[in-house]
Amino acid sequence: MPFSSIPGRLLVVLVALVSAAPAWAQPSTATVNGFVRDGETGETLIQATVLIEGAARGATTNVEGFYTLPDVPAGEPVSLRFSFVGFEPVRREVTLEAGQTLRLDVELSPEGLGEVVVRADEPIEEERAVGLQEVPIRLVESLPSVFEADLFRSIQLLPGVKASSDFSSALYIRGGSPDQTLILLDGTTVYNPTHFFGFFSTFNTEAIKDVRLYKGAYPSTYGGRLGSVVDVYNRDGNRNELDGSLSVGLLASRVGVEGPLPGVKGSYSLNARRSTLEPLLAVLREQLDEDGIPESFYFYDVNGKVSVDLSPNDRVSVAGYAGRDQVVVPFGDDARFDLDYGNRTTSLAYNRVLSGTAFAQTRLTASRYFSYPTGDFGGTTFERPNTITDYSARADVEWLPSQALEVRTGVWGGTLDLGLSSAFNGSVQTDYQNPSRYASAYVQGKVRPGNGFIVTGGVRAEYFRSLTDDLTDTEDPVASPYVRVSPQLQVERTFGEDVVVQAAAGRYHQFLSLISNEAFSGFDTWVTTGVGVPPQSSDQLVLGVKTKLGQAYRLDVEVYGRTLRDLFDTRPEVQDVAGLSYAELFRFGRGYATGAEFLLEKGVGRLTGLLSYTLGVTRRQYPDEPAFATVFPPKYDRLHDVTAVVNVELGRNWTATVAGVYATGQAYTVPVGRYTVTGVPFETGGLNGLYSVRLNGQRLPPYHRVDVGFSRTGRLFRVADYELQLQIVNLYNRRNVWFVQYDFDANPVDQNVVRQLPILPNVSLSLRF
Amino acid sequence: MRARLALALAAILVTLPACDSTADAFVPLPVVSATLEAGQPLGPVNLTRLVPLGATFDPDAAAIAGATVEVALLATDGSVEQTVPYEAADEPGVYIPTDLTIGTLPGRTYRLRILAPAASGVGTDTLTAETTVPVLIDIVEGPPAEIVYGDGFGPPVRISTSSTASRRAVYLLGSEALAADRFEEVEVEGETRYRQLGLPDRYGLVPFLVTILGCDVEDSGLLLCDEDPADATSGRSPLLNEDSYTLLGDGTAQVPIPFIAFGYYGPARVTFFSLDDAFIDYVETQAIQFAPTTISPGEIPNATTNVRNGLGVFGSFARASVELVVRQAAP
Repeated sequence: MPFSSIPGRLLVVLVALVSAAPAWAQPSTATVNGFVRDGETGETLIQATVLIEGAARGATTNVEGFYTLPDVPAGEPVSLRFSFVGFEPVRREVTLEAGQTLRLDVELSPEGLGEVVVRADEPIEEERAVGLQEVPIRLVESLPSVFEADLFRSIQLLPGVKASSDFSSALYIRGGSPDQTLILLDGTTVYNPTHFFGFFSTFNTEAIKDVRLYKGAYPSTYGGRLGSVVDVYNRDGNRNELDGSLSVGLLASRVGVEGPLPGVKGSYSLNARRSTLEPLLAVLREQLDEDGIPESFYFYDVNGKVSVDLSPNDRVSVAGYAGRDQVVVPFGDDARFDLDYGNRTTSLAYNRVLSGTAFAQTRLTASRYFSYPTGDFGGTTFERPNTITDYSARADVEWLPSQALEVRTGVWGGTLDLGLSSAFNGSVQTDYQNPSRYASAYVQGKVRPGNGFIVTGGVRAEYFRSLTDDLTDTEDPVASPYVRVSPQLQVERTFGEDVVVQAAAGRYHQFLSLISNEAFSGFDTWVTTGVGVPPQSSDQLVLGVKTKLGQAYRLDVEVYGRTLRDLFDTRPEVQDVAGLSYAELFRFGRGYATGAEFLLEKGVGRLTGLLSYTLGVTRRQYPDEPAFATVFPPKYDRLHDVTAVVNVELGRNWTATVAGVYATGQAYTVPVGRYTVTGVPFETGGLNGLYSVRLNGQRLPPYHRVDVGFSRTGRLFRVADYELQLQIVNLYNRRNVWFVQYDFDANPVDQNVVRQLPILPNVSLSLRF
Repeated sequence: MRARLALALAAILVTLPACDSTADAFVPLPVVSATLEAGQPLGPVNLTRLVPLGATFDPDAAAIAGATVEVALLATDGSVEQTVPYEAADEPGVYIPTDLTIGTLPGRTYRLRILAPAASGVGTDTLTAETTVPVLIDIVEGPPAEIVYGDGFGPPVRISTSSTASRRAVYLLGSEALAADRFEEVEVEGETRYRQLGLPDRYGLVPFLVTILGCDVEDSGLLLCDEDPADATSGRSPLLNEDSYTLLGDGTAQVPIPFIAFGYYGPARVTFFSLDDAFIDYVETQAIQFAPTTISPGEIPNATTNVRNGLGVFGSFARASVELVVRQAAP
């Protein structure tokens, strides 16, 4: 049992915490804290580095752009170096008195747009926790894309992250299904982060300031998911001047405006995006006269944020997101299908600098997902409304009393209401209302005992209770509260300034599960734990080495292993849920994922980019389901994954980007034979069957694809900065296979190969004024 | 360093194709098709073999001859109460009871035992399966003799329930148009379409199917369809748990027959099938082979069989039928 000693390890951390205590009592030091901002826009910078030069130690800014640097030598001049990706470093000389706390806000100037990955001249241990991957928005926007720059499709290029197909932006991270990734927008959970039924993710890159991806063994400050975290932060807005942007693309157009708030110290930002397919659809309908062409098909999203500094130590912000997709597909004169789905999120955050060494963040959040599919076929109607409403409150405090100790603690609780019903010709068939309550608390300590070691230990306690555990819409007399404790430990050691070795282990729990279709996210349905349905759990172990190879290159290697237990999702064969107990709805599974990831990045120079390789194995098993009882690879399992992204400055304001992917073919089932059960009284012609020796026992042909893009930037009529993007997705028109269908109308059985995206061009023009 | 890295990557790429799986071996497993109906004489048993996926399916060629088949009625303690031997019928692979008068008892368990010649030609395969026959169902109160299509959700029917049985019933609702008009295959502008013949005392499609089958109304008032309406003369619902119905206090259940169950106007027969566990398992797992919803496309689980050492199903059911006439609403 590789994780049986986790409590023991936690004890070690606690001892280390206590032993570190005398370090904070030293009177000969001082503290420096403050915000680090973009000098051009005033945006706070997340994970900016502050270094005490000559001392080889420092701090990084938190998600609010605030840093705390304790144990700064007093009574002597000290040089502090502030740096951040793509910005000119800044040095500040300070001389502090013992016990003094100096508030030092710093602004950094952008140094140009050519660099898409992190500079390699910062102390390596301060940049990333194990499993943490930065996702530069500039990189996302520069990648060739299918119609629209997309955050999740860019994340799919990173090692350890897989896509199920060209048609899906869902993230399969380190063997986990998409629901095992917690997706946060300004601290608010987003339950269905898709547009176009999964084709795109819901995030408008123009509105995003920063993205953190924790691929595994994530810190105790997060919880509620088995595998990973995508933490997205929207732009606060330009605090210095009014700024606007306009972008026109083949699929969608975007507009944004941001600027300082009048009369107060603060900013606002507002970004909107809307698809512009209607004219094309109108032409198609007129020219083709075919059923199935949508009468209406659009999506939009709006991101807004307002931030106000109440004082140098107090800040309040309100952020909101609204996104919606709607499609109306007519069939003939008297049949139509209508799907309306989307997300709404809002958050109210209050941050306060409590003292020289403590920072607090409180947040109220609301998140709602809705899906309203309706159909009318010749007067026969059906509806299947599905909603999720999540209200939560959370508070987090970080305390950095000394260079040797950082403590973070927090609580998070809320209500989660799921609603799913179905009606047929106006008659309600299913009415499933599931109100739940959840709460969690964590404490995390980070100690630096010396000799280059950093030990981070944390524990998170989580509570979840579904108030309705059956399908009869009455409160079940048997309560189903679940309490789980999730410990996490990370140890890292630096060797010089260029190498850090990391190890992390943790246990994670998940109280929700997503019932989804890989090809269509519009019917996504979340379900919760309940009576007879315990939380899912996962133990993770990650070993990593991060190295700097000269000034330009970085090489990160991570090896991971994770178990998956008590996985629950609805039994795929169930055709009617009436009368079933809650537990009877589900199949319960287990599995594991293991792999190794290699990431080589080049961050400076005219040619930048990344090269990654992932060796991964994922397996699943549902022992009580005969067809799934034997261990099998899920479709998204791939043994090999190679990705290359190259960005080259061609001169004369032209930039070229090339992204290539090569991966082992996905797992799929190849039936060896067919048969027909005859004499079935309710099925004319009998019931056809396929038989295979192994579930997903074969591999599709290898997947590979190359996308290229060219962009030109410049000034348009002295009015606006422009960026013109010309892109080709799937340059050599590789027809990768998605899956194979079998048609029994033909004899012998027809095998229809369903393929993925063909070659696609894309053009967009963005203006910033 | 760059040279080493390039070498390592080249080595990886060279080995990638070698990781794909090898093909699985085909074994011509025996397939059982055997059905018992409560209250009716024991039914036939059909034996075939699994056919390679790419091969043409010929039922006669796939039939298993020379098998020894018997069905035993089991007592509640599992002992054999009565054994009925089967014999080969005229049709290849079909075996029928030697005594055609022996009825199937509702609520009782039957065991099928087959000794089939092994596919290799040497020795025999022993196949066994059991089914517990559902209790009889009755239509306590039928629908009106005539209904108007689209008037409400659908005509109500009251059926007996399985409240006294050890398990709750699971139904299939089947419908069959008894006087469906015929359609002929015609070529229209180079495409195959289906034109309604307009035969006397025959009835046309309901609006829902007119839409689904891509039918146009011609000047004659008859339909010209993209898809063959002959496939819509009968249909069935998905599995429906008894709890889906409105359970009345008197041991009966009120069941609305949704209008979507009717494909044609005119006389129709509606049948309630109460299925045993073997049929339920088979029907629901067979369905996801062809219409998966929450599993990945291309992930095709095997259908669940109750046949040991073989495929197919030895299932049982009870049924009750009612006839009615579906009238078109007045314009």
